[in-house]
Amino acid sequence: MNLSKIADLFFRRINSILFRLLICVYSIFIVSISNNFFPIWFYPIFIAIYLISYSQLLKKHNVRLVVDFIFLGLILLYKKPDDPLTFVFILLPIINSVNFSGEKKSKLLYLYTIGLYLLLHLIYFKCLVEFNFQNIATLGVPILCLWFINLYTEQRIKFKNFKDTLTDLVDEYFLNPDSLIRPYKIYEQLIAAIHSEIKKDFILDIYCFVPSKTLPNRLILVNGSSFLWKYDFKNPDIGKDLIAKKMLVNEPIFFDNKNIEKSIMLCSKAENQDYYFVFVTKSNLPLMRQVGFSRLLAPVLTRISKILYSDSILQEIRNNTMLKLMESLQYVQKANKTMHFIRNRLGPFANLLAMLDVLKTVPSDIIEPFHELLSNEKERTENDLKKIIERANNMLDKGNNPLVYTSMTKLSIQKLFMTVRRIFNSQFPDIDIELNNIPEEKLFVAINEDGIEEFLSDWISNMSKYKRTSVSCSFFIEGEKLKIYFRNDHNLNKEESLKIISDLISNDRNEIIRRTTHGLFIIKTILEEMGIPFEVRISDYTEELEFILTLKIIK
Amino acid sequence: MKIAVFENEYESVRGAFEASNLLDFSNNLKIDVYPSSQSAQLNEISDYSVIFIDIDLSAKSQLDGFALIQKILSLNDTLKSKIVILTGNNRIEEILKERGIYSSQIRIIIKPTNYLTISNAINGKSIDS
Repeated sequence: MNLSKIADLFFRRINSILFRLLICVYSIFIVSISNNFFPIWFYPIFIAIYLISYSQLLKKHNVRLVVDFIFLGLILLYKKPDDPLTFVFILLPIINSVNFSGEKKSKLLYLYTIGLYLLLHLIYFKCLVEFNFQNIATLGVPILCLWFINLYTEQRIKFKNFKDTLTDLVDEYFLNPDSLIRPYKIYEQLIAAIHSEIKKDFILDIYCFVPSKTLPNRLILVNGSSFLWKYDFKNPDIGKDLIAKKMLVNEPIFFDNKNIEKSIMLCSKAENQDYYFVFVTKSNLPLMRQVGFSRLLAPVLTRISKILYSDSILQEIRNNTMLKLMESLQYVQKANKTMHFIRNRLGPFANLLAMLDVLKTVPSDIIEPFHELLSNEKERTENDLKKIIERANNMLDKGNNPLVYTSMTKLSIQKLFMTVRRIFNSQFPDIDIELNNIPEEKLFVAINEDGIEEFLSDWISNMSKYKRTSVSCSFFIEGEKLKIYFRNDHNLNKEESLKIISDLISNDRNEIIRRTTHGLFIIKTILEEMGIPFEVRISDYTEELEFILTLKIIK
Repeated sequence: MKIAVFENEYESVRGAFEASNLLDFSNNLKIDVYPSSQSAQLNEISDYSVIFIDIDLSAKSQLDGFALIQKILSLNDTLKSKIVILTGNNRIEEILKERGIYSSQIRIIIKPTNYLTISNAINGKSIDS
């Protein structure tokens, strides 16, 4: 039992005790001012027995209710039931019913109240002839009306509770990581919940469809509780009709070539995407219950639609990432093929060298044909050299390389901050990024998102590798410039740190660092490709290594 | 002596074969070049003293080098010692093992190669490539 249920039980118990005390006080009041059937000393004994039995019957609600009415009956025996004091006493359990729990008890409560009222009448007036029917009607009818109101309220609360149960079911299901792989499993749980509360074996399957973006009359299956090979909606305007009427019943539908005779279709919307849900049912629902069914499921279907919509967006992002990845993969494969090509073309080179090695020892009788072979091989070598250079140029052409970050997009500073924080915190989870001031308006920078991601991953990994104890990152917005500082202490001696700085900021050694320090060269190249000015230095005060990016702010 | 060369880019090794023929076999080698598996009469393949097989072969070839080796060995298993693989892939031994056609008798030349390696292969000497 969770804490809220324990607290609820506690408060209900307090209410229950207060109610019994009220009955006891009221009974003492009635006994003290009325003529009583039993000798006066009987009544304290009744009260004592009543309180003891209450304490013994805490968990037996129905028996406790019977005991309440027996006590009420004993106190009111031979007292005039139409007397306002008596009548209010009879009504006390109904007045207190707001604190009652349990489904059957409220029905019994009204039955017991009416029964007790009639019984007291019968006993007081001794026979039916003396019955005051006008009084019974005046006082009994309101009780009956209250009973009906109560029955209706009970149904309404039950309906609302079940609606909440269904939405909780969806929320809980989608908190489970497995739900991302199998979102369609929610339908099984939904069907089970509906069967337990509305009608057993009522729903056979649930399917979700969306309208096609290109052919508005065509519906596309999103998912469902069972696998579907084929589906055919005979009404070409089914989408329009469903949106107009909100619910369609027993539409002509064929699933896997089978005529679906009984079905309910409901629609829902997430952003601008319509979702159509088909409930294949075993039987038909009466018209009144169809409306209730639609109202009951509306919030659940809205939730499912939102989740399916998010899933479709994620799918789109995954597809785009996959496309980018494929482009890079193709480039790598092309590079691999180029290496094979070069290896094959090196055949004449290898043979030419071997032939030149033996040139001086070739017997004179074959020297002439040998020279001819040598000349042919030289020609082949020259041709292959041209082809190798051509292929190498093609590979090195930046336009053909998807891993070159020259195309820029407009990125908000907030998004850039989030990217930096994500990558920085992946290495240093306990360190916050400092910010000199929060911009009042939305500001942007021109950047290549993949490029900045790669730069951040590379440099922040370097910081983690070389730091001793302290690292920091700060955003500094100053006029039209955004400066991002990365600082870390290090174990490098002065010569080593100066070499790193000179490798990064000077262009004099580019061709050397390209060969020797691959990581630094990549960092430098990415920033140069994006046209982002940067500065690397050793702080005069802290001796920390500082890497500073300067980005131009655009509005 | 007759040798068969299954190679679709023969120009890249032509010089090595011709120099080998001139320097080490006094031009007595008869070199038959087949750019695809179907261009040779495989039932007469045992007539050759050495069979050089390029693993890639051309896209027009019905069989690649691996399938060609399997086909030849299915005709005559003793031809293993006559087969010399020409390839640019230095993981070739692993791939042959994966495909279940590896044999220590099948010799391998890793490209780029020269006439000396070709001569050694034809003479049945060990190949250092």
